[in-house]
Amino acid sequence: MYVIIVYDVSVERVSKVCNFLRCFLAWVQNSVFEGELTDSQFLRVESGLKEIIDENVDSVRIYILRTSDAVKIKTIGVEKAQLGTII
Amino acid sequence: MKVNYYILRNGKLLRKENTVYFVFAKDESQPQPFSAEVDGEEVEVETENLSEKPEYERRILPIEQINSIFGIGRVSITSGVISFLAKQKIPVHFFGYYGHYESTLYPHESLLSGEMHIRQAAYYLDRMKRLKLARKFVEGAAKNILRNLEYYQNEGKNLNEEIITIKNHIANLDQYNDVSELMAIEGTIRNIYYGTFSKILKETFQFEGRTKHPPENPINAMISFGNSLLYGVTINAIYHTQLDQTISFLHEPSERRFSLSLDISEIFKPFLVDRTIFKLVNKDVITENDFVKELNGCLLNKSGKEKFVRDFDERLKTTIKHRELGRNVSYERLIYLECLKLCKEFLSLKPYEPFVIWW
Amino acid sequence: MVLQGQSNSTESSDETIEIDPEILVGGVKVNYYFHCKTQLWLFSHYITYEQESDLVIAGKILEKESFKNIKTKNLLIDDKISLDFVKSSGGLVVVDIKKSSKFEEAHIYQVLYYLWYLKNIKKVLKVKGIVAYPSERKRTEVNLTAEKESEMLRILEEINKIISLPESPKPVYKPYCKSCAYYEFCWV
Repeated sequence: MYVIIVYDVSVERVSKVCNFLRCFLAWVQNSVFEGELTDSQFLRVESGLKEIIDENVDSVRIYILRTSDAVKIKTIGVEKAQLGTII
Repeated sequence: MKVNYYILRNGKLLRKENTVYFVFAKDESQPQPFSAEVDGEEVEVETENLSEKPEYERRILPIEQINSIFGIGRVSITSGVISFLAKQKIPVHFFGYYGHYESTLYPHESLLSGEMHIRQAAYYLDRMKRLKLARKFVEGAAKNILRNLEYYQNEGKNLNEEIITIKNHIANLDQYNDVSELMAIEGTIRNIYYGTFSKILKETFQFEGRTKHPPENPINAMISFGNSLLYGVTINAIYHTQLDQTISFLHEPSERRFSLSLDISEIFKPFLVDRTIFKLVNKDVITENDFVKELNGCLLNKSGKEKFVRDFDERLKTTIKHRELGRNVSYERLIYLECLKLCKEFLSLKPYEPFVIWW
Repeated sequence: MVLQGQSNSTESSDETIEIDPEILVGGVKVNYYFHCKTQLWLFSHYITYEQESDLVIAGKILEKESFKNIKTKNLLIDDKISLDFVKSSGGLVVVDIKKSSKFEEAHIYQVLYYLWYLKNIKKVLKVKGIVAYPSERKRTEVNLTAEKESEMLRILEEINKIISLPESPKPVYKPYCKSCAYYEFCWV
């Protein structure tokens, strides 16, 4: 599946969430990550996030798409996303 | 599916916050202060907080998504990242100046099976069984070569004579009762095949037979580079099975450390490497400007390597509906499936038949 | 959540029998015996695939999430079987959490084997078993009856017979092959 994760979490947990998501997905811009996940990776991301955030205060939204083809993405302004596997 | 990262720039791999960073200088024309070698000399640099300095850029590689890393530029590596990548079971392949494979930072084997190990070794020791497998590898390589030639024959090139000759060689493979004879006939077939390149390829590039160490012209430079990439990709595939990388059948185990990869990649060269070359040349993607000519050889420059890697990687990710499995598999996965077929041969579950392009 | 053990009229006797330790296997092998003989043989010869560990990770997370409010205790016994226990008012309960009840028979026999092992090897009597399917809100109680107990001995003998076969049993196509970690291996 292809996921887009956006988060709005308390400042003391922002870098924790960011560092955690960096292990699985591509950083796209502040508080947004994107990428392909297998079912079990998705489970790990979900349960990892639950452990980091305070579910009473913080909010994470996950947009789940069947494949990357299912989403059309347009950037206006600076493209900050670090996608691609050829560096 | 995990992906391969190809690093063409010069820079350094670091471990940070439980994932991997690649840090490089933004301005490529400037000397890379942290690369292991500048003008033939080792240079010491502190890497502490390198990624925060404005003249450097960083790329974050999500650790959970990395299948392997191809260090094609001058990639330095810290001790922290070495143990981290090993723990995450990620091989790193390093390439030399001429785009040739140099070595692999190879993680511990995690899928060990004494049963499989013994059976694979027993195949090598049994002369007839080894011969049978060696023959299959030559047959697979030759048949895929044939598929390429038939494609261009249909496109209107006159390759009839070469096709017939190679078909005859395939039909006679049973006659050879020695692995060295099979190696020789494999070389013969490949020479006939390389002889057709001048007909298949646009006239932009001259090609008068295979030269290595170093390659003498652009086509040879691409063949060497492509075969090196494929060698790494095949090592990855074998790593995910119980097969022993060092026990091979067509090539002698002494030829290279990971000699089984030489055997298996032989089958996939025409399909994955040569087709990349044909496309890049015939569609004018790659030009003279993508090479550096030197006194004693020719090599792809950074833009040339990038074009090659881009097409090669796209090819690996292309999917095809697998007839037996009834599901889509990527071309890269076909190499892994080839390893599984070998496992099944060793376990007497199903006789091994090499992959031949079926579409 | 309360896990209750009900008494059952066909309950096995409190006597335990002498067992040859050579025939003891890991609980997963009992599961695989019902699932697929090829898988049992390959797994027992350490021919496993990474998708399998992927499934194991998914299972661990499922377990963690389902038992957030309950204290389970994981025990590795004799380096052979790994169990999750829950203490309830009715006594000790062995719980095995599974994703789907599609292979309930295999799951039940896996837990039956744990109960059998505890009784006959560790001499721990009066333990209840449960297979839980949190995503289906379903739980199945498992009881080691005298009948099941002797069947278990026969199953263990057969498992050992299959494992010691010189060649792996040829794969037989089943509708659930497609979701198995060995699918590509068996059918390529």
